[in-house]
Amino acid sequence: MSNFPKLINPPIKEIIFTISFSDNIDIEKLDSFKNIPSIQEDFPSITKNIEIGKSKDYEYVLKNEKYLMHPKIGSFSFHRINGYEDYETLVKSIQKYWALFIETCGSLNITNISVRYMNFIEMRQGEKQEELLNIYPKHPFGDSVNSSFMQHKFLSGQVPDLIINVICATTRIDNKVGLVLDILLNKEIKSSSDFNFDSLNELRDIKNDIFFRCITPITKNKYN
Amino acid sequence: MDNLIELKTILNDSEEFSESYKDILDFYTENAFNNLLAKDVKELYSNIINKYDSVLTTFQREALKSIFEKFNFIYLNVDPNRLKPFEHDSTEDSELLLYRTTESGLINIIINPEDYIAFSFIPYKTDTEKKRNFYFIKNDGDFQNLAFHFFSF
Repeated sequence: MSNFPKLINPPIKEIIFTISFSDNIDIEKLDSFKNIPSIQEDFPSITKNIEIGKSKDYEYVLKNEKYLMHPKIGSFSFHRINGYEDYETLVKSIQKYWALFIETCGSLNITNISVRYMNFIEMRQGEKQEELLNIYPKHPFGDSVNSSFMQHKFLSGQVPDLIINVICATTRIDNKVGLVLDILLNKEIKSSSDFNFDSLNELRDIKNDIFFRCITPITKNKYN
Repeated sequence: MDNLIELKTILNDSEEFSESYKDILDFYTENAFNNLLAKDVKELYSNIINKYDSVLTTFQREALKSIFEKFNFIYLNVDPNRLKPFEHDSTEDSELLLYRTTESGLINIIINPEDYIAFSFIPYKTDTEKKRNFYFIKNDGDFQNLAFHFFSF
């Protein structure tokens, strides 16, 4: 693992790991996953199912104070919400729940993994967007811009079949104006046998590299 | 379009930021099917169910589900372009209203809380060719016909 600076208060608001698969899993199995006693214990909240008649639309979301899990036909997502947690711990957690998922649904043909880090960089009075992020363009509209959206999509030069999306948006969250810096790494898995949880660790350095290339020294100091 | 749908799906996946993204990109238009980023019929159905969740009766939920199954049928099997923008509202009498304002007149699907669904077309006085149309259906009625009428012009 490369050495990246460690921010004391990282501006991360949400982390999402997603494993996608091609199999059309059985609805009853998907349903029984949420009824596993340890899942019920770990995730006391479940959202209602919304269907319009077709069974393929079946899905639900499990939630507790720290995590959100969204298993559905085609993918399995694990979110860290309401705070930061280190990468190793999160990978261990998704590994644990994924093991239960395939125990219930059977072996699955994995086609894609993704890691997503969503940051919110608060703007102080008088700060300009381009002073906080290197990827924010200069514009002639002054302070009147209170909403913007921009997406950069590119291939990684380091890892094959890895697509990177960097989204930057100006918005207001909890009455604070700031910049969303949303970094999404999507890696295609060509053969399911190529997948193991080390594949997720491989993406860690890349997302760190992208993050530190996006932020300016002002932002770095803000969270140190 | 595929890229927009993919992007919209990505943005919507976030628990923390999806509402902000919706605000920025105006996903929550009342003008259903009018937004290029509207993912599909299922999502529109979910949005309506969530918006009126506290006031919908079982009858209205079942009727809405039957109607959207037919919208979905048109979207997937007939022609997605046949689906046109429409709006929705809940009236003071707790009726759920799906309506379209067209060049010829106003088209409504009215879902009563308890026992009927009504279709109405009220032409503008300036349009002398189109005739007024009004009929009721029960919850085992012909929803496909209703859906085709709703998007007929």
